[in-house]
Amino acid sequence: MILKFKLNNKHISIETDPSGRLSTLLRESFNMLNTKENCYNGHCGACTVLINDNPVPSCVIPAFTVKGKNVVTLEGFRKTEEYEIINKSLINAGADICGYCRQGRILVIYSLINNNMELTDSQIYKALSGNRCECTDFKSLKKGIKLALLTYNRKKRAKLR
Amino acid sequence: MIQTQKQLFINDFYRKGMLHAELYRSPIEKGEILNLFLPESSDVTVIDYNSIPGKKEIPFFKSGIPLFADKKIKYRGEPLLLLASDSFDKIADFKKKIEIEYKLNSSLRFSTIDEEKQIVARDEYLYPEKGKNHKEPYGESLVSEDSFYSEEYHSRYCEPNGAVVIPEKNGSFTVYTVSQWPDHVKKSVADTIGISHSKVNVIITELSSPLEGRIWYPSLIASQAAIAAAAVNKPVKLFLTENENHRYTPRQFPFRVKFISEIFSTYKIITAKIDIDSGAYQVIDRELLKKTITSSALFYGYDRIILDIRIVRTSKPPMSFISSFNFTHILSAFEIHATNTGKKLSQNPHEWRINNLFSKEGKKSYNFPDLKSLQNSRNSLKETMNKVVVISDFLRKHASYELQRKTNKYSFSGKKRGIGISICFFNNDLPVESLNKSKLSLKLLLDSKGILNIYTSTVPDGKYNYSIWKNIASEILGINKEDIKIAIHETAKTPESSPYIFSKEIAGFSELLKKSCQSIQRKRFRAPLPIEIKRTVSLDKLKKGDIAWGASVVEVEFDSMSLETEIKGIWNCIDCGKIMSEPIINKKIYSGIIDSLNWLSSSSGSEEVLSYSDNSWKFYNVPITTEYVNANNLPRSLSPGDMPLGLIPGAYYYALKQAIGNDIANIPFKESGFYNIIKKNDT
Repeated sequence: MILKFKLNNKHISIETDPSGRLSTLLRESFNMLNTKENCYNGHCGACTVLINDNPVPSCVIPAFTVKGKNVVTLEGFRKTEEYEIINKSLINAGADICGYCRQGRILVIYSLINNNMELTDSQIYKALSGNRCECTDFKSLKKGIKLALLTYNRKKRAKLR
Repeated sequence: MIQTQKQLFINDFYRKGMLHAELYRSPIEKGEILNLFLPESSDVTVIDYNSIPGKKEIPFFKSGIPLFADKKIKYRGEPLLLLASDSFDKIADFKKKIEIEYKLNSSLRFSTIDEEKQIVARDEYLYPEKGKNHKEPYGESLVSEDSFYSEEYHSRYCEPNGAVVIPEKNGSFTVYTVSQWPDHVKKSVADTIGISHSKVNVIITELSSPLEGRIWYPSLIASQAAIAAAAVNKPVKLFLTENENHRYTPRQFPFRVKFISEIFSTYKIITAKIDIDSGAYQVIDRELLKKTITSSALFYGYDRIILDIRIVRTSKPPMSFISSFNFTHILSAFEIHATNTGKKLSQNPHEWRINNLFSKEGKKSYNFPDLKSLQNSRNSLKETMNKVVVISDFLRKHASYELQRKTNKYSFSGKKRGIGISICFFNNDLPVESLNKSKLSLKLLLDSKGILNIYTSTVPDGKYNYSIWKNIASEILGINKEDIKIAIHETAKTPESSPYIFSKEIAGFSELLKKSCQSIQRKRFRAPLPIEIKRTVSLDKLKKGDIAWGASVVEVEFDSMSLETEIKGIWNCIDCGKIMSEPIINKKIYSGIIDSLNWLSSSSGSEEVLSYSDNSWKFYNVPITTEYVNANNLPRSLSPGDMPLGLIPGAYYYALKQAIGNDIANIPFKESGFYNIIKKNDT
């Protein structure tokens, strides 16, 4: 099947097995190696991508479901202002996340700050429970996310003005 | 130029012409393969026991672990074949067509030990030995008895094990993997394919999380991939799935322990009977267990220690050393026993501990290497214990919950609280003599551009160590941290090393780095750049005996309606000498606490059916207070390492026990245990 979708905001058309995993398609056909294939059942969160701005584990998503949608991986997200905000906030908070869970965590954090004006601790913890990696501690992560939310909201408000 | 850029993860390695490999595992745990029918295929390369050109097993301590099963199957998921092809689909098709005939034998279980078949080693020890200051106790004694069973423990790292083996044009091989012991990988691969050790270069790749559980297993995976790479003369990547990684890679030894304390008025005896499940092969040294128990018994001033240790063979994959060799879990079990013993003597857990601490004068007859250090650090232990009791308000809370429990003896409803205390120590002595002989080496090169390059035989445990080392070098030499490069570990460039598992190694390396930087500093104004310094030190020559102490208090609330346990607070007090970086140590302690709480709340299932759950996120909000003391004024820094894994379970279990008012014998405590307690209370 010829699959047409947007990958990191670029129009893509590719002949692929429609029932294949989206994660495999991204890794093998587009060399998007930040999308890690690990558990193959959506538990570990290492393969998380954004589909129309929602974080989704791509290892359990058949390729055909992204037809006409926008898929964002870390390779594309890295070029955005939001990435800069999140990355800087995490560094300032001392949350040094590893390359294995990086894409999943960053995209989930983006979704969190993009959809909420305020965040409670339990909202943060529940959102991060889908990314299983012990590379950093959650105290720093929480601090980083709250910092990112603050900066993100400030920038949003400034734009509105 | 030194290679320090971020490496790829094994999963991300692609080379032109590279083959993917998968293992075909035995469908049975124990038995014999009678016939194996393989489909005809030119697309899939098949490697089995008979394809191994060199040694057919990898060495580890006293055991050799076979790369592939020949005919006899000894454990769950034992590899039978390695299948390599340019596509996973071809391997999957091939696998489907394999037919296998086997004879099934009954599995060896840890729950039902057949002494004749399963006990592979047994040791008994007596301290002090008879005739050496030995006194017979007299009078009436109080006997306290506790039994515990600890389940398998699997490190919850995200990235599975894997290796990429690349045959080079000159007949040598490059291996990319993540291992705590690169030299073991090098030797195993070379011996397996029958070439000289110098022809194998092992490069450690990017690592997602701590190195836990990767001591000997990466050598097995890399050797299996190397056979295929040598056979087809193409790069081969063997990367396990998460499910395979969970089910078949080494876990921590489950153990069953029974402590019996006999307390006379002036004499204390402890008997410890320990069974260790070593899986199908014996990869544990008894010396280690002996040290663990004697050390923990010694700091409670027991006059006599009797140990009976049995290593039990089962049909599980060979176990390994994770989280300080079971040390922490056995120590936790011992702590629960200590609390129970105090309770029998009508003393609160803190009081009993303080009253029974070893004395400086006593136990001189013990021929035990840690004793002097234990005695020297007595003040530190007292201070950590007293401090944690004060900051947690332990004495008042313990008395109050005890009273509450006694007055509501027959009611088992509503929310009940409990509080527990536990202590733990870590020392920088190596637990296994044979590893003490290994060397630690370092090469520093300050090049003409003023960039400091660090080459070391130590495989650093992630970015935390990098940051500490850069701080040390930067402070002494006044170089910007950006100008300090730490080389990726490559066996071809670094001298032979021991497995990276010991806090001694990290403490030793920091000392070595400090001295080497000082030496460069002295030369800097006399000699022109570049300046090179090489240093090697034998691990057994490093200063022994520094001990890090910790004490923890855990308070829980148990809801007897929902059967849920809420942690109300955790207080820690730790003495680990000079603190090099408080944020880093805080992170390590916090992660260790979350890890131990996750372990306590997630059962690994039964021996037949494994399960895996990660409940760690439930504990992110637990209020944790940690304070540091430096009572011994140690100038050196001791890594607190896995101390929380030794501290938290003991305190948690006593707290839970006080809350529910009944004994707990399993670690982790299974839900079914609650129902049994309710039943017991009803009757």
